[in-house]
Amino acid sequence: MQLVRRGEARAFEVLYDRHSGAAFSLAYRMVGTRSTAEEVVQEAFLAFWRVNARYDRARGSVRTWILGIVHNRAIDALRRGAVHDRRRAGDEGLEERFAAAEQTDVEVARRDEAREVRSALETLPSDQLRVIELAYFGGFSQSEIASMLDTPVGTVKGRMRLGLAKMRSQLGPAEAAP
Amino acid sequence: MSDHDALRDAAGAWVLGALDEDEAWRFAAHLDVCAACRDEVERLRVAADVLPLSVPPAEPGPELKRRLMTIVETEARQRRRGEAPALADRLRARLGGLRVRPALAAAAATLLLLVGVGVGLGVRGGSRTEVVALAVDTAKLRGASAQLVRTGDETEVRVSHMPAPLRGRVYQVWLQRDGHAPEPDAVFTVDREGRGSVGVRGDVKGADAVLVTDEPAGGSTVPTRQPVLRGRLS
Repeated sequence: MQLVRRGEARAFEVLYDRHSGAAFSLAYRMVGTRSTAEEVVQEAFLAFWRVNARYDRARGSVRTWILGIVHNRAIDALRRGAVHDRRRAGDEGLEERFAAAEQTDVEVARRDEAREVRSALETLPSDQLRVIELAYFGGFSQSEIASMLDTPVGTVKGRMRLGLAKMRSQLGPAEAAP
Repeated sequence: MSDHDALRDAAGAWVLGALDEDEAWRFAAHLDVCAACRDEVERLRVAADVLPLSVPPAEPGPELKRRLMTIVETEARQRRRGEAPALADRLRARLGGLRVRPALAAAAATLLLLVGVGVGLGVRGGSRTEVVALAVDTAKLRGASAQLVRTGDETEVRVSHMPAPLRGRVYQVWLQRDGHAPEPDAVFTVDREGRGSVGVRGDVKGADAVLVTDEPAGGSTVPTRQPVLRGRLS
């Protein structure tokens, strides 16, 4: 990280190799097309390269920081209307997404973590899961979600809080510092 | 019902970035004074931070890495030579094929809301120090104050009593030259007491104003919101 801060391109490359899979997966899940997801990841990593001097370890891991940038850029892309053929990443196209994934140790660890997080999500009642997914992956505000689901804003807020609290209780201590 | 009771349920929407703007500002102010809600936010944030890990795995194409490394290696060479990448190159590289968002077309109108500008001079370590009080958008930053401190070739933005940026967002400095789009500069955040400072990286000579906006983490290439701080340099 110090080397990236000093402008070392090779150090940046190591970070890219380590985190680009997770970054692209998130962007692809949110924007639904490979080309826009790649634009989002490019913007995010360039932003990280150019302003990483402001990275604050106390506010989370490098991965959390990068994924936070990707998340915000993906929401920007959704709001710009850049995604004309937006679709939710469901089961279709799974082969395409797996195509380049290698079974490296990093990849295996990532899949184990993913399995644990998905297990925690599966414990949530569907109405709580829905509002969390719409907010986080869809980039919708609570009032937009309330209008979409024809549900009071207060109920949407409550479901978000209860869902996250339940999910937190399912996660082991290892996830406390990703 | 107390503020705490009314706002407690907002903690989940807060960590998901789903609060509407007005409520987000209210909740940010409440967090400054409510330890129970700060604890709740930290607890829920652990769950929100791992949500990206739940998505099906996918890999970008190799061309993306080649494209990125070309830009990064070029900028690394420029940094070693002490050059700043040309703004136009940075914008092109950063935006790729994406559409540029609207710049600060209506900035002047917003500035009607801004108050409190002043200038002070002093001498520190043999260098003349100029302090310019930045105008504050009091609708967004009630009670905040900010200064631009120039000593020799160094310029710094210092703030106090600023609300912390919302989750996933930062404050970003911009240099404005008349007739040109604002140039992106450093990003910063503030501590729990609302204090913060950041060195201005760009050349303030010839700049007409310094702006500060609220932007997504990592900063933006063009401002996406109206400025919350502004100071004239000339």
